[in-house]
Amino acid sequence: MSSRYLEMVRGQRRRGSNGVQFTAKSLLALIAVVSMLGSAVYWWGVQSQLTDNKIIAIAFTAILVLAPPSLTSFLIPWSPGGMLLQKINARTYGYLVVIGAALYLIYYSFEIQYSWWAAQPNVADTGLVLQQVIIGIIGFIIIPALLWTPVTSEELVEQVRQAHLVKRYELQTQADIAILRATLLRAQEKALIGFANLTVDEKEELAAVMRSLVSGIDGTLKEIGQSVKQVSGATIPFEALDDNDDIRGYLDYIHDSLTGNALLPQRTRDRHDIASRAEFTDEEIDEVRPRRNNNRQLRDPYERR
Amino acid sequence: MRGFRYSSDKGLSERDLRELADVLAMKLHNKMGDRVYRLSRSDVSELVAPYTDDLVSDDQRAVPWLIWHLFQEAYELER
Repeated sequence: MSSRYLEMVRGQRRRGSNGVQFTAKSLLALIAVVSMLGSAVYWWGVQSQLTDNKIIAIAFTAILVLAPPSLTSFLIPWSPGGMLLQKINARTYGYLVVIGAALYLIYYSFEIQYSWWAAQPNVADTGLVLQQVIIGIIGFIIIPALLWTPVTSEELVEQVRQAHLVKRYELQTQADIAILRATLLRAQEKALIGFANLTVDEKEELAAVMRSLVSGIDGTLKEIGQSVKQVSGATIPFEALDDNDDIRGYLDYIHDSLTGNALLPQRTRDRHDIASRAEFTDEEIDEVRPRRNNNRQLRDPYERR
Repeated sequence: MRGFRYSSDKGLSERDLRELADVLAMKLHNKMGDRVYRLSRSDVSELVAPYTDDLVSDDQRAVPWLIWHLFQEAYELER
């Protein structure tokens, strides 16, 4: 079933492609192209005077025509996407380098243009050197920088995704550690209250829960780290919670506290000790397995002496 | 039950639903221009609410979806 709305859009598109809309921004784009051509002529004139080596002069001309606008474009975004990108990049060290390089190139351009205009007799006589230099800075650097976008829309989306993933990874790590600490605190509080009300199975289960909680969190963090690595190509250092000595110590303490009641582990420990020895005394056997019916005299605790 | 031409309950038939979505999409596009491509479903729902408040709730939910999909298709056409 055809849609009248889509037919309308197709019709508009056909009509729109035949004509060109002339906006102020497109006029600025034209000015930017003309300015950069003028900039190329100007800087060639300057650089070819500074050195006889044509290759070097061409290279420096290219640098001074292209680098200042492109680096300045990172500093003065002119779209919401550009502002977002700047907010993200401002937190990187590379951005400081961009700022330094852009400011120096602007300063260099200012100084050279000032000297050049000061050497023009008419300009020097009328005292318009500074004004001419500022016009030159605006035309050669500012206008092209405003019209250039630092990255394409696709790259912008990718950078925003990366920043979002990294932030999510950090928050997830903090949240998981906070949850683990809260869980351990609850377990310690239960230990203070006393495990007498828990059955043996419940205590074993609680200890197992503690251990699986840590390994589960490790697994989650590994997955997040892996997805960040796939997206960004960078490997974020990952320290497993299980490898952390403090966390391991907490878990061992919890496990021992839960399962280390007076009945079980004492017997378990002693059983192991006894089993490892070839000979053992009757008293040691009685501790593990008290015998009721035997011909040995057992001391009556209520016997009066 | 909703058929293509007729509906057994108070809801619109599929044809009427699509025509309504078409008309509202054109109205929004004429009013807002290319900005309609950036509208979310909840934005579309809010904008067409005055025109759909007499419909049954299922149709009130369906119309913004249909309009939003039309906008996405139009955006693909214009790219």
